[in-house]
Amino acid sequence: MSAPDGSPKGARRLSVIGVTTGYDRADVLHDVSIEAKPGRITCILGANGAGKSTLIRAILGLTPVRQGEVAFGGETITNLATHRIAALGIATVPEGNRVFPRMTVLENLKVGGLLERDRTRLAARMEAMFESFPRLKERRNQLAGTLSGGERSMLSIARGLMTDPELVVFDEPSLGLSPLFVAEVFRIVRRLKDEGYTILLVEQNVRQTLDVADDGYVLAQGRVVAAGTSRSLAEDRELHKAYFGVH
Amino acid sequence: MDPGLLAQYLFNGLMLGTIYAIVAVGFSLFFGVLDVIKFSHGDVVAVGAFSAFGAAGLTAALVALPGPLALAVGLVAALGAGAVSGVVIGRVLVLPLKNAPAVNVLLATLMAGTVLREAIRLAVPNGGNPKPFPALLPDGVLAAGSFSVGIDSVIILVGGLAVVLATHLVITRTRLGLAIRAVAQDDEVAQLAGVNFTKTVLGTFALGSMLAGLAGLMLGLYYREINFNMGILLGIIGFACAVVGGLGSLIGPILGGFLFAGIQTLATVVLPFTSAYKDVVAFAVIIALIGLFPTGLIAEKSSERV
Repeated sequence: MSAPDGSPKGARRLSVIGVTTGYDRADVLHDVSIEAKPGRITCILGANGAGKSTLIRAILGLTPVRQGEVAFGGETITNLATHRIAALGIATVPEGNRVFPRMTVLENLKVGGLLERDRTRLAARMEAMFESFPRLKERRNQLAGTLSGGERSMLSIARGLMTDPELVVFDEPSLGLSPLFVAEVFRIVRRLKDEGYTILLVEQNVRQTLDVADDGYVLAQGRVVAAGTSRSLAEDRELHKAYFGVH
Repeated sequence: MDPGLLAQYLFNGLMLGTIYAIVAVGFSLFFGVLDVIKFSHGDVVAVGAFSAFGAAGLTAALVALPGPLALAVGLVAALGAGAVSGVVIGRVLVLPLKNAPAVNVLLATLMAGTVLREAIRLAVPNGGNPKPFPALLPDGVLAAGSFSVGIDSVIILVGGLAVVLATHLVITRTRLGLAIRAVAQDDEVAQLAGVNFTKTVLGTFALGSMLAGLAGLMLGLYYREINFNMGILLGIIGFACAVVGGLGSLIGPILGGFLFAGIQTLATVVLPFTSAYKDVVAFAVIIALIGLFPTGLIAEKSSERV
């Protein structure tokens, strides 16, 4: 899965600085600041409705930012069109492992490769994906809508990697997957980090997420209520009592 | 019935079916990417026909072009005018209303169609009357027994079928086609993968409207006469074909086009005394089919929606 051209990945840092946003007249996020450092796994934890998805949408230009700034490698990307943010090297594995159901597996990957115009590099990347995810190679001519949940999540990840990103955003990847596949997804996340990708992982699954992540933030009611290394977050008993329920 | 005459009917049916299919595909493409009904589509057909008519007339007045070149001028004018009207309507009317209720888009494009229609009527000298369309295709007749058909008709039919095939290839084999299908299936995920939404939607509008412009040229060449309001009936027929075939799919509207033309032809052959009612019969059958197959003959689930 390493970059076929051997270029170093994850040199740029994602910064969200004092972002306030929401839908219609209600603010969902209040003055949220987070950072995803290059080459590390940063997680964002929080219950349903804490604002995790809204934060992701704001970063990706899907929900307009009202106040504050989003920057990638020092360059402001606040309210940039989503496809331009993707072109800067930010790939997303969307919530629910969405794929294009009426396209084949191969075509799904090709959509991820639309940004790349060099055919040889595209072919190499496709080959790398099939090497990393042999199941996808077996099923390359099958419609994505007929894949199992686990296979869809592989496809969703591979499609993101086809854009040759530096940063991969995972939006609740464990949602709706069987425990076996959840473990597999977390293994892939760790592998991607080893290959030099920067990861932003949004999750509800506290224990496994803190296990794999380097840094973390906890969102509650649209605010950052805790931040630190995942070790410090994992050891903070008060935090667990207040936000995650006692473990 | 005389087999030669039957062949003649069949040929005419195929020809009309091709034209209907070309118009219907546009409706389906627009619905696919944006879930909108663009009701100005029929009038873009008229824009294409009159642009070809005007361009051919103007160049003929200036220089005497050989046949194929004169046809090329008409073709470029029809495709260009179609694409421009599609992109302008998409950019100015449809995209800004993206988050508004679908009825608003329907109404706005319905009115845009009226604007196009009236603009043609007022801008063209004596525009309220039918205009004779120049014969840009070679004369001559192919005959076999009692079956005879003009070479021009054969060219139109073959060209039209080639365009239907080419459209299919654009959608299934090109980068634009891939982007169009991605936006149609999940526009957010498409954007996250780097697809430019606005560009793709406008590309779709250009493509679909070029087809409409081409249909206008084909109708002009076939009937040798065009009319400023020719788009009204054609728009409704195209829309009906798209709905009955399966709005949003690519094969559906093509089938719908041939089905509609087939019913019209059948009505003419079987009930010669009612041939004036062929549209009535065809629409009645379409209404019945829509009642029986509410999601179209090609159900979205099993078919390849664009």
